[in-house]
Parts: sequence; C-alpha cells; structure tokens
Amino acid sequence: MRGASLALLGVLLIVSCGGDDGETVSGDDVVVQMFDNRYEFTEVTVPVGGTVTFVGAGRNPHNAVSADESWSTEDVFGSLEQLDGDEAALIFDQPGEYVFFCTFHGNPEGDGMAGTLIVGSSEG
Amino acid sequence: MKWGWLLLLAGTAMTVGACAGPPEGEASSAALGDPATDSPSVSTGETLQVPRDYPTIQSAVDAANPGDMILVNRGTYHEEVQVTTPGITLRGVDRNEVVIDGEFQRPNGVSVLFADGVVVENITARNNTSNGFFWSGVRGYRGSYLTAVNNGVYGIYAFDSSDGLFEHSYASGSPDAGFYIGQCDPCQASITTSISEWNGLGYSGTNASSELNIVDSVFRHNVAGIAPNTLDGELLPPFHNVNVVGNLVHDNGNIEAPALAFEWAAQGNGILLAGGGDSYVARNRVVNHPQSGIAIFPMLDANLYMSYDHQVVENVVEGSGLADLTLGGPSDSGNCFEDNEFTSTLPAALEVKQPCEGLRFPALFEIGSTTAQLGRLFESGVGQQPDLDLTAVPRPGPQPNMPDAATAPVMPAVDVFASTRPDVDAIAMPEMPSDLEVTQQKGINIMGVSFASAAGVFFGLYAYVLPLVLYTSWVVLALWDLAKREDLTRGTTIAWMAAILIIPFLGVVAYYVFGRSTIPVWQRWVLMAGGMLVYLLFLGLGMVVGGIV
Repeated sequence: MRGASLALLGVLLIVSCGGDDGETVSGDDVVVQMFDNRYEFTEVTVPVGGTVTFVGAGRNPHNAVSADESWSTEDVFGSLEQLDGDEAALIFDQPGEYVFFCTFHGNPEGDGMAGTLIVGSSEG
Repeated sequence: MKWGWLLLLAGTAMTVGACAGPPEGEASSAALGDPATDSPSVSTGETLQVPRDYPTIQSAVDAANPGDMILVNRGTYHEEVQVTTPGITLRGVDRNEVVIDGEFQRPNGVSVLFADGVVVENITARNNTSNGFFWSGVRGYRGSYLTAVNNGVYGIYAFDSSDGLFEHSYASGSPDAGFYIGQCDPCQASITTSISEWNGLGYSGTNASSELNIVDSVFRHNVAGIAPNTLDGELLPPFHNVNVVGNLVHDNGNIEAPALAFEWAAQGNGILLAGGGDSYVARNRVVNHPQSGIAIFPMLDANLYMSYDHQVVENVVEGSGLADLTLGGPSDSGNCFEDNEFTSTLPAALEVKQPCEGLRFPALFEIGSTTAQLGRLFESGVGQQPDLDLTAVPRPGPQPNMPDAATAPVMPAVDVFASTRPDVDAIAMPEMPSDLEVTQQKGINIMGVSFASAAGVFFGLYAYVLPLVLYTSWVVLALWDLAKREDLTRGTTIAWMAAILIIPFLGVVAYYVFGRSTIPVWQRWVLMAGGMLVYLLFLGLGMVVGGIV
C-alpha cells in the first residue's frame, strides 16, 4: 500500500510538470503573470463576477489597461507600475470582450504586450 | 515499493529541476527578422526644434511626421518621451547638456514602441525608474552617442526588435544591465565602441540570438561583465550565435555596483555564457575577476538549459580568482577552448581536453563553480546581497559628443545591420591600457568550490560534493557486499563488479535494486534514497530561496 502511495505521488509530481495549457486560461478566479514584456496568458476567460489577478513578474514594471479605458489595474493597485510580486485583483461584473495592454510595452491596437479578456460566454 | 520510490525520486527531481515546457507566446515579426518596415529610408529634411518650436520633447515628437528630425537644445527635461511615429530622429545638440531626467518618478527616458526606424542620438537619460532608452517591437533602430545613468533596470535597451545598432554610447548605474538586447532571432544588431560600467551586468542578452555582435567595447567595474543568457521569462530560448569579440573586460566583480539577484549570481565573472550555444568569444582582453575570466555555465530557470558548441578562442585572460577559463556543468557537448593565453582553468587542462580541433572529451565540466551561483542566489534570497542606492554610483565625466550634431545628416534606421555589420574576423585584440594592472590574486578552491562566499561553500558541499561522497560510499559498500557473498558464482560476481565500476551511478543502483544484496533493504534505501533526499532538499532550498522556482 505504501509503495502504491509513493508511486502515485511520484506520478502526480511528474504529471504536474505538464500543467501549462498555453496562452489561454479560463476559470472563476484567474491569475495572469506579467512577464518582461508579455502576459502569461493572452486570452483570458472568466464568468460574470469572476476575478482576474494581474501579478507583476518581471524586472520592468507592468500593468493591464483596457483599450476602451473601462478598467485598469491602476484602479485597484493605485499605480500603473506593478513590480515583481505586486498584485492587482479586478472583479468583472459586466459581460463583454476587452482588449487589454501594458501602457509601457504594448498599445491599444494589440501590439506587443497585449491580450484579450472575455467576461461571460465566449459565444457572447 | 521499490518502483514507488523510484517514481517519487524521478518526480521530485523533475519538479525541483527542469520540467516546464518552453515559454508560450509569439514574438513580433520584427524580432524574427522580418525585413518589412514602416519607416521611410530617407529624411524629409524637416527639423522641429525644442524648446524653440515646441516646449517639450514629447510635444515635438507628437507633431513630427515620419522622416523628420527633432533637435533638442540644451536643458534638463523632466518628462518621459514615448515615440510611436516611425522613422523620426531624436537628437540633442549636446550629449552632456541635453538631459532627460526621470527624477526617479518616471519609468523611461525615451521609449520607442512599435515604431520602426527611430534614431536617438546625443542625449543623456538619467534617474528613470526603469530604462534610459528603450526600443520595443521595432524593425530598425539606432542609438548613437547616448549616455544612460542611474536608471532602475536597463540603461540602453532593445527588446523584441531587430536590425539595430548601439554605438559610441555609455551606460552606468543600472542594476540589471547597462546594455541589453533581448528576445530576438535573428537580432541582426551590434553594440560597438561603447562603455558600460558600474551596472549589475555590463551587457545582458536574454534569448537574443543570431547575427548579434558585442564588439570593440569596454565593460569594467560591473558586478559581472558580458552575459548572454537564457531565461524562460522571455520568448525564443535559448540564446545562440552571439559574437563577443575584441572587447576590453576588466575588474567586473564590483560589490558596490547596484545589482538584482540574477546579476549577483554572476558576480565576479568577466564574460559569462549562461545556457545557450554556438557563440564565438574571441580576442577579448579579460583582466581582474574574482571568479572566472571567461566562463560557460548552464542556466536553470523553469527549464534547464545546458550550454553547447560555444567557441572560446584567442583571448588573453589574466588575474582570475577562481580560474581564467571555466566550463561549469552540467554542460552539453561541443564547447571548446583554443589558443587562449591563460594560467588556470577549471577543470584542469581545459584546452587539452576540450580543443576546438581534434579529439574532445565528451561533456567534461565541473560543478563547483555552478553551485557557487546557487549560493549567490541564496544570499540574495535571504537579504545578504549588497544593496547599493543608485544615487551612490559615481557620476561619469563628460562623454564625447556627436560630431556636428546640429548639422549632421539625418538617416532613419533602415537596413542598419547591413550597412554597419562588423567584420568580426578583422577585429583585433584591444591593447592593455597603461593604467591597468593585474591585481586579482588566485584564490583557494577545492574541486572548483570557491571560498569566496559562505553560501557558495555550503551549496558547493551539499549540492556537489555530497552526491560524490554518496556515490563513493554506494560503490564501496556494494563491492564489500559482493566480496563477502558466497551465494554468487565467480562469473556473476565479476559481472556485478564490472557493472558497478564501469557504469557510473546506474551500475551500483542496479546492483542494490536487482542484485539481491545481503545488505538489508531498509539500509539500502537509507543509503540511496536518504542521501539523495538530503541532496534534493538542499538543492530545492537553494532554488526556492534563491527565487529560481
């Protein structure tokens, strides 16, 4: 029994190596790291009322600002300069699709450090 | 139960070590060398003057058309300049007296975002919280006669871009790097005739590859000198095909220069190739480094990147505390050292065992110098790294001005690399400056474990020496067990002894698992798994506290 448990733990650890599902993420409570100079996920989907936490994970400061100016990490963090480890958690109550970008490393047209947030069903 | 333990060990090792895939995402087409550009190739002839025509640099930039020049007159400008118009030239009339000062409140002095062909020249940027001069996502860029002082991350910085040149420029007081080129392949870029001092790294190039030249420049008094490197935080790993030729690299090991954790891990090395391949390090003069003059190391981030196929040739290296030439492991094959002038190497006789021509020993390296970097990261994680205020960095004296700045021709940065590409084979070794003496003495090391720092010794012992001691004890006990066994035939005994002695690690492990050793099972597992768990524990401790995982 103990051998089986050890084997299971080992397999779980090995399987845990493959947890990244690429550039998209979805869930009720999503964390997006902001690397130099890109978002960990470029397509983020949450339900209405879901939370997206943007976390600084680079040497340069980063932020996330909606291209339509309806929301920004500055709204909750108090600054556009999130450094390594700084967190900004936003709750989205309005369904919609938003392009977001870093004002230092991207632009509203989606160049560079930018992504898309879908609140609610991706089918609209 | 045995297989359970093996799976647990394998999983632990993979989790602690290298189990992630490559970073996901797409670099820009510019970073991949797409020649398409939005920039005009010639100037419009129009000049917008600051402050005569426009009160701020940004207002002039906003009014400029592609191909225009913005000429900035003497003054200190308290603003952040963001350029999104392609093909403009931003020029100061006096490099030392046209200053963009961020007052440690604004991120960048000048940032060029997705605007191809922008030239910035003859300007100083200082006291910005992130970068002095910054290009991102562009095809075609040039920075000439720039001075970047005391900026919070990088001095002069190009990211996700290609077809560039930094020349006649100076950078000091940046805790990450004075000069940085990152995430491009092919970069098609050069750094030349420049000086980088009092930074974390003189040059850093994360995942920057192909047609990239770091040449004819001076890197001195940084925490570490020149460090092409591979990290998972940026796209396009690993770095490869970088030329580091004809540079004067001296006295990098400065513990009073500002540095982040990663830079502190590289402390004391002159030229450091961390986890990439196929690069060419030639005819550099490398003097006075507490660790290694020129070193090749692996890079451990979310993935483990071993170095491969680097060539280190015709350099003069002297005054190194650990070794003039170092091949740290684990390393992939193909790294070679030839025709260098030196007095010490790690491992010993490196040029004999790893020549660029002829028979080469497979993957010969040593670990002690690599674990020393883990010790440095640990120091950083527990707050033992020197933390220098940027304002404490010595201010540079006046730097040479661009000739005829007010009237010199305006040339948008189009086909920059094709017109400025250096002939690396023609670049000569720099002379030894008359005021530079060899002052660094050779230090004590045991099996490559330097005594330069307590944490380095600790991790050298537990993450390098301990496994060797364990392995030795496994072998001795296994041979002793075989010698006293009477249940095996002579042939079987000889076969097991041969396997234990000839097949590293796997032979003795196979004996303990399949050889029906008379040593009680629990003792065997304590010996093998217990020791390895202690090893993994300390390795994991170093990586977690050091911020690798």
